[in-house]
Amino acid sequence: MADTSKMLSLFRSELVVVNVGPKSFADVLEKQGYTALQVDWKPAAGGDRQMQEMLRYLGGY
Amino acid sequence: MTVPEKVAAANAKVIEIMTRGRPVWTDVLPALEAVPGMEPNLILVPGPPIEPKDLPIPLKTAVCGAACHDGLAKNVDEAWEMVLRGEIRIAPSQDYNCGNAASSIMSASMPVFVVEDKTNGGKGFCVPHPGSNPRVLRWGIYGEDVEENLRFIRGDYAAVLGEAVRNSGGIDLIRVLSKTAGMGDENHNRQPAASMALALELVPWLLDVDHPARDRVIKEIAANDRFFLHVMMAGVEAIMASAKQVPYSTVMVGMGGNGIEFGIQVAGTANRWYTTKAPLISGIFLKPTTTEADLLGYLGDSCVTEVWGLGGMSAIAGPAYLRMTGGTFKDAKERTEKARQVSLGEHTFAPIPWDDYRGFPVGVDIRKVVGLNILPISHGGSALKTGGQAGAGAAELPVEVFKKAVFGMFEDVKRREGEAE
Amino acid sequence: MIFTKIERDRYIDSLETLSETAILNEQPGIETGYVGMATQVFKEVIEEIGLSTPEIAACTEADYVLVASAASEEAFEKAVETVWAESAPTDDAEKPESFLSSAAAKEAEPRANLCQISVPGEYALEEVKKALNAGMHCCVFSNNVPLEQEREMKELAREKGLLCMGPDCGVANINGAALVLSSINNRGPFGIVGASGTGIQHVAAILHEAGSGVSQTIGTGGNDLKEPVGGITMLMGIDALEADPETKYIILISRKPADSVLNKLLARIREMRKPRVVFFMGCDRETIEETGSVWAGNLDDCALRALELIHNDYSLGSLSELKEIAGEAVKGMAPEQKYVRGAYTGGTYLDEGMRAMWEATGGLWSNAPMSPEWKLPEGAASREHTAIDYGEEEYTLGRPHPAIDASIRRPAILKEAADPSVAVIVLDFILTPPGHMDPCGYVVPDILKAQELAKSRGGKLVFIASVLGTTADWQDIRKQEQELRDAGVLVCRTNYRAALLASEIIKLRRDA
Repeated sequence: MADTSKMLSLFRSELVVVNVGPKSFADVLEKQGYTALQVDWKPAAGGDRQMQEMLRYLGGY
Repeated sequence: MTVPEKVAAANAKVIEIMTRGRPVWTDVLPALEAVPGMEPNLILVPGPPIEPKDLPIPLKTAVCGAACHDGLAKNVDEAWEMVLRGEIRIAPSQDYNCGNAASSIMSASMPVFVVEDKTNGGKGFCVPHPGSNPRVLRWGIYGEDVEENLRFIRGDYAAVLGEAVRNSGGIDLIRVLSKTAGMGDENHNRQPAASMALALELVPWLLDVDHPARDRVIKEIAANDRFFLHVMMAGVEAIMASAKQVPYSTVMVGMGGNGIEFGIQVAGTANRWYTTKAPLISGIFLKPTTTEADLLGYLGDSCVTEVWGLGGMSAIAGPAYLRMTGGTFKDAKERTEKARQVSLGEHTFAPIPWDDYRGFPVGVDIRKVVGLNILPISHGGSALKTGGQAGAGAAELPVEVFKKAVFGMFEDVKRREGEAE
Repeated sequence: MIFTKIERDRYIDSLETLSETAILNEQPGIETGYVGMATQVFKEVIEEIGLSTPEIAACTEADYVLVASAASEEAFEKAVETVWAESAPTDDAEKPESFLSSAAAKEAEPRANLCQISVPGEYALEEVKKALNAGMHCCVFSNNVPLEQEREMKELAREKGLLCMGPDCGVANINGAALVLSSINNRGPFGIVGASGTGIQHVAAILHEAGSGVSQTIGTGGNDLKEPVGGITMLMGIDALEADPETKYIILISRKPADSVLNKLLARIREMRKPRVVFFMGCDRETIEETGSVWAGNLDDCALRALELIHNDYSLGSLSELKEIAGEAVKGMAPEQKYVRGAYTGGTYLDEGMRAMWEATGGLWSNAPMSPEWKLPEGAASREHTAIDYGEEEYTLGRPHPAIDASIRRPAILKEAADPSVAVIVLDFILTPPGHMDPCGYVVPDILKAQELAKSRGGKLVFIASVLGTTADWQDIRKQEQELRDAGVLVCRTNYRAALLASEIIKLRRDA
C-alpha cells in the first residue's frame, strides 16, 4: 500500500495548479474558480538536443 | 555529491564571492611592478586571444603606439614588425586580471590602478581613463599629442594620484556605488555620480600632496565624468580573480571583444575563452555621417562591469543612457529583467529606488542563458574601423559563446569526474 | 540580554540601516535595537546606548550588524526576520503573467499542489520530474511518451507519494476542478480511477445526470496497465480513494489489462473495503465478481451499476424505444441508402460504436479497425460501412484534439453525405471547458446542407448523435442537444445507444 498522506492532503487542500502548456488550459481553470499559474514552456536551449543533454548533465538551468 | 550538486555548490560559492566582494582602490603603480606575469615586451589587449596579424586597425595603432611609448621600438612601423615577429607579445588582459576598455592596451611602463578585494583577497588592474579628449590610445589613435598625454599620465598624474590614494588608506568602491545608488548611473557607460563621489573622496587627499602638478591632476579628475569606470574595471577584475578559482561553477566571470571576436570566460574553466564573431553595437553615432559599415565589432573589456551586474544588466538603474541611445524606460526595465532571469544573485549595496528597491542582478549562469534561450544585453561604446569612437549603444550577447561555454564546462566537468570520453 | 546578528562583508548603506533600526525598535520583545555597518561611529553609538559586545568590538566596518537588548533570543530572531522581510524589495508589482519554469511558479506560489503538463511527449519526463521534485502532483496530458519513461516518472511519483496522472491523461477531476479535457461534474460519493479518459468522463456524466456525482476522478493514462508500467497509478489511485473519507464508492475503468498486471490488480481489488464497480473491457464476469466487485459490461452499464449501489434507478431508455424510432427514421429513404458512416472524435467511442454496430453491419472499415483486414488505407474515401476516428494522429498531428478544435472533424459531414449509398451518419460531441463553446451549433449548417443534398437525390439522410457532457458544462448539454434536435438530428442519451439506433436502422435497410 502506498503512503496516501500527500494524495489525501491534495484532496483536502485548495487546488492550485501550475500549468505547463497552452495558456488556455490555465485560463479555463481560473474561470472555474481555481488558482492557476502559467508556465510559458518552450523547448530547452531552443530545441538544441546536444545542449539539452549537456545541460542535464550539469544540473539543468 | 552528484555533478548537479557540485555545480550548484560551486555556483553558490561564486555568487558569495561576487556579492560579498569588497573592491578597495589602494594604489597606482607601473604595470610591470603591479601585474603578476607582466613583462617588458608584453602588451595586454582587450577581448579574447588574437593573432597579431588579425588585429583591427585601432588596436594595431594602440599596440604600436604603446611600444613606442615604452621605448620598445623607434617608430610605429618598426613596432609592427616586432609584433609580427613575436618580439613584442600580445595577450588578453583578462587572463592577467586586467581590463582594457575600448581600444585601450596596457604596456609595462603604464601606470595602473590597483584594486584589492578585501573580502576574497584578489587584485585587479586597469590603466587610468584618459579623459574626454577624443584623440587617445583608448580609441586607437596615436600621435605626438597622444604620446605627450601618455607621458603626463605615466609621470606627474600617476605620482600625484598614487600618493593621494595610498595616503587615503584605500577607497572602498562599494561605498561609492552605495552612496550613488538612485543617482541614475548604470556604471558602465554612464557614471557621472560615481565619478563625482569618487573625486570627492579623493580631493582632500589630493590637496595634501606636495607636487607641482597637483592642481593639474585635480582639474583632470574633476573634468572626467568617466573616471570611475576604469577604477571599477580593476575592482571587478579583483573579484573575478577569486571567482576564477572555483571549479564546476557555470557562472560567467569574464567577457570582452577585440573588434573581430567576442568572448566570455566561465568560473569553472577560468581563463579559457569561448568566442564568436564580435557583434555590432547598435545605438547612436556621434557623427551623422557614420554608417553601420564603418563600425568595428564589439571592442574592449569595459564590459567586465557587466559581468559583475552593472551596465546593461542593471539598465533600469541608469535609464537616461537608454534614452540617449534610442531606448525607453520600459526597455531599460526589460533589459534588467532579462538579466535577472539568467542571473543567480542580486547585489544588496545599491537598491534601485524606482525598481521596488531591487538590487543589481549579478552572476550570469551560462546554463540559464542557453537553457532559457534568454540573451542578456550589454551596453557599450562603438568604435570606427579606422579608429576613433563611432557612438554608443547596446548589443545582445551572442548565444554561440554561451553554447560553446556549456560544451566547455561539460568537457571540463567530465574530465574532473574521471569520465572523459 | 543583548543579542547580535553579524553578517560579515555585507555592505548595507546607512539609508537602509536607519530605516531598519526604526523597524527593529517597533518589534515586540525588543527594548532597544540598532542596525548599521560596524564603523567607529556605530561602535560609539552602541557603547553610549549600552549595546556593545565583544563580538561587535571585533567587527570591521565591512561588517553589517544588528544588535538589540531583547526579552529573549526567540524575540530577537523573530524581530530580525521581520526587519529583513519588511525592508526586502517590496515587489508591489503584480504577480507575473507567466513563469519560466514550474519550479519558479512553485516558488512564487508555495501552495501550488498540482502541475498540469501538456508539452510534447519527448519533453514530458523532464517536466514531470521537475514538478515531482518540487513536490507537486502531476496531471500529464502529453502523449507519445515511451513506456520506459512513463515507468520512470511513475516510479518517482510513487517514491514521493505523489499522484502521476498520465501521460496521455485526458480526463481528471480533482477537488471539483475539470482538468485537461474533463467535463464539469457535480461532487458526490463516487471516486473513479480510469485508464480511459472518455470512459471516466462518460460514467461521471451519467452520475451527474442522475443527480449524483464524483469525489475525485483519477485518469491514469491509457498505458498505465501495460506491462512495463504495471498499473502504478491505478494502484496508487485505489489506495488514495480507499483512504479518502469523501469517497464512498469506487469505480475502476480500463481496457483489459496485461495478464501479469491484471493479476496484481485483482489481488489489490480483492482487498478493497469500499463497494466498487469494475469495468475492464473484455474481462470476463467471473474474474471480476470473484474479487467481490460489481462487474459491468460496458460504460453505460458501469454507470447504471454504480447508481444501483446508491439505490438510484436511473434509466437510459429501452431497446424497444430505439426500434420504434428507427422504424420512423427509415421512412423516405432511397433504395440505394444502405450504409452507416461514423465520424468520431476519439478512440473509446469509436471502439464502442463499432462493437455495437458490428453484428448489424457485418463489419466496418476504419482507420483504427477492429481487425487489420478492415483497415481503411490512409487518406482513402469511406466505403460501405465505415467509422473514422478523427482523434487519430493522421488528423491531429500538430493540431489540438478534435474536442478543442471542432474544425478537424467538420469536413466529414458533407464528405460522407456526398455518397448516395449512405443512410445514416453517427456523430459524437464532447463538452469540456477548453473545448469549442458551441460544438453542436457549429456543425448544424453542414447537417442541414447534407440533408438537403439527400433530399435533392430523392432520399433522406438520417443523423444520429450523442453529446458527452453535463448541465454544469459551460456549453450546457441541454442546449447542445436541442440545437441538434432542431436540425432534425436523432439525439441519443449515450454513444452506445446512438450505435444501437444506427444498427436498428441498418437492419431495416438491409432487409428492405
